[in-house]
Amino acid sequence: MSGLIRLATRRTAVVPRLAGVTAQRAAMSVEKKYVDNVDYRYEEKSFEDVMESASKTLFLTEVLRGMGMTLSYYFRKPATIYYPFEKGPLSPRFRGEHALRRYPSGEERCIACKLCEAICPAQAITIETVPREDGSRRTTRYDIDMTKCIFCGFCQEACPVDAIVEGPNFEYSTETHQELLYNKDKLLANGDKWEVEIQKNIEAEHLYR
Amino acid sequence: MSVNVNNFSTVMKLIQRVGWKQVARDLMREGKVMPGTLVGVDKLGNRYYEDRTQMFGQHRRVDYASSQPDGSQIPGEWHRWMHYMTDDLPNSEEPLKKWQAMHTENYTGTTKQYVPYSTTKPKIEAWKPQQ
Amino acid sequence: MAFVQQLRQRAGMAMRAATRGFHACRPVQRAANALPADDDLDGWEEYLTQRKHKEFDIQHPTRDYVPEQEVSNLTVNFGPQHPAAHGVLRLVLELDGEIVRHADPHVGLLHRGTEKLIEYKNYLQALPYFDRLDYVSMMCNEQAYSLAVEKLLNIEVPERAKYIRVLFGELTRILNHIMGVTTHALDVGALTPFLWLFEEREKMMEFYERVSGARMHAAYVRPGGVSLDMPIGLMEDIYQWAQAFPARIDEVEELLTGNRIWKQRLVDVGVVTAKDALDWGFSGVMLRGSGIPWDLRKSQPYDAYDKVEFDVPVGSRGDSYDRYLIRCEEMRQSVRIINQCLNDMPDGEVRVDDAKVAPPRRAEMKESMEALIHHFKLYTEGYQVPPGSTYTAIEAPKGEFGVYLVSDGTSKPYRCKIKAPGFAHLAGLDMMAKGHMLADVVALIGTLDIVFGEVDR
Repeated sequence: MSGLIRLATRRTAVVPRLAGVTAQRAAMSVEKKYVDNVDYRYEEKSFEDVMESASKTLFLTEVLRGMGMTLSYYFRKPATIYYPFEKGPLSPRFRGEHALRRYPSGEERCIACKLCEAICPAQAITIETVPREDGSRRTTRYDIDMTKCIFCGFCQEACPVDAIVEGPNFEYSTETHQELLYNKDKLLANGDKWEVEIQKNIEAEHLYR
Repeated sequence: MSVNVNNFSTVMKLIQRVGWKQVARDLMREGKVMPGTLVGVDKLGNRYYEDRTQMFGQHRRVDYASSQPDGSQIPGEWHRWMHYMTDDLPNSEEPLKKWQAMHTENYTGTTKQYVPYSTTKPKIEAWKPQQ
Repeated sequence: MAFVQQLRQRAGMAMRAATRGFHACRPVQRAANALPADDDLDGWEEYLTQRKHKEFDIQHPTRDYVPEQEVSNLTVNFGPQHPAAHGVLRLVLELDGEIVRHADPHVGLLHRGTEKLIEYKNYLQALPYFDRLDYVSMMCNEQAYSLAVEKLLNIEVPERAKYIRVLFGELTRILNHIMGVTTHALDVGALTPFLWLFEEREKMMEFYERVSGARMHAAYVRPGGVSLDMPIGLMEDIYQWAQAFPARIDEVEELLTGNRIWKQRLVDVGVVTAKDALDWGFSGVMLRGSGIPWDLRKSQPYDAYDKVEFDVPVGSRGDSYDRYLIRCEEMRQSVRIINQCLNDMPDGEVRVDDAKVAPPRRAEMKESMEALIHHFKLYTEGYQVPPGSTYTAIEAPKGEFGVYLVSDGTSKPYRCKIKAPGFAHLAGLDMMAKGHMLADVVALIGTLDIVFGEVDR
């Protein structure tokens, strides 16, 4: 039988073997009506099998092998990292703390198109807007409730001017709930703080986006 | 106690190089010293080490300038390097725009913490009775 | 006075117990308070008459009989904060001593109203909710939803997207089975495999992060393809990982598979016959463990599953041990599929070439007015889906994960019913746990591999 899975490499005969099926067999046998095809019989044991299982029981071979396996991990290099002195890998796509970006001139990018507000599945973004004195369209309120946010990244995908981004920072845990109710100033401050990195990450991703 | 503790000769070499004070501090604080080469120092004074002989993913390390180390103290320039996003060291020549801000750590629980406030004028003016 | 009475009572009981054995072989003259011989009918009659009197005579000096009392079974609460309950399962167990007579799962503690919420979101916004259903097999849920929407839209995703979906679907299967097998072992008492395999799980979550930007709730598989192409170097790293991973399964199997304690806890515990499995609506490993070769990846292949080769392990005895073996073997088969996907990964687009469904690329959006309009339309109103309904199911790691989607022609689903495999499995817990010991209930919850995100929805 082709495609048969033999799982019995390290198993004694006492253990029920798994029967493998190929695609054809699976499709074929599903049509049959199953009543009760569970096999309750143990496999027949030869003398060697009996001796093997008896010696296994007496000499605790499988337990000792398992303990040896566990011991081998003692001599391996640990995979743990010493946070915060060492840190785990991140990719440029990482979706962390939100930030509002600026143009190189210092002008804020957000044009209050409210696409992010519209797409946000958790309705975490609130935007209010009044035309500025120079006639340009800007937000007066840009609040993100970070405790509502589900970090799906739809806001940064929706933003036509790359204003709202989910930056690389994830170390912004707070002691109180209210500290996570970000307003526009906080988001812009985040942008000013992380711009060096955000810009490089977007640059690294430009081929994919 | 793990096998990860450096062997004796490495520690001795390191003591010769950086002094026993730092080695003792590292051993007490982290249980491990890293015989890496100093690759850079950022504006806040954090020092960054790299040791290619270590396992991948454990070969970069930061020595915080602050006496109370916290993960959020790494500025954006080095954050990228520290999290293995890039192998390029940050270019310190690159001037910052004047609107770009200095890095700050996570101030939660201190007096400098962020407190939300409304950025718009209130739509309703509350009636203030004449005194 | 009461103390003396108690003493007498005890002495009588001891006497009764001592004499019971002797009378059968040699009928000696019966002492007072002793039981009559088995064949001594007159003696029994006399004894019973005496007893009847004694029952009503509390002050009787030679009272030796303790009347039988009706003892009700003990009812205990298992969870909702039990560490072995795999989340917020509240199980009301009726115990007869230590034997479970009845197990009554109470669900709904993690109910978030996903199905109703989806009715108020457009088709793209509904996607992240699927990550949070079965939160250890995220991309498989997204895949089920995306396939359902694609069926209604009648679109075919590009070949590369199909392969990426299969690649990450199988990574997710390993992710889930690692969680299932190791926490099962943890519940039964083997802590170490949990720590070993979680290192691998961490690596896989890094792959998730590199491809989507999130370690768990990826929102990566979208209706119309996947959100972004894989970054350069990711396939190489997945290959390196897939080379090393089977050794980790070997290590876990070395520790568990032959181990007598593991076998004592699992073999013949929670036997589900093929008929029971079908009657209770089981799917996935729970069904295959009972010997029914049924796998949606084989019987109705979706995405690129018809182009990859793999075997479906099927159990023979339907017990927890078989299901454990199947999960281990499925992980190996998943590695096999991953390797094939890496070898056969075609070039090309990852999103469907339909501006009305897939948002335009950013460079295009910034230059072309038409693309910008499409972008705005897609991220505000979303795309309209033609009226109709579909039940689309995939072989999620836990079983058949189905999405029944009804569209009324608008950009929001009219109804979205989610068929979670864990719900049916949890319903079968009573059938499986009946007659087992209390400690086996923990092993059974482990073997069911339930996650409450999808059970409660």
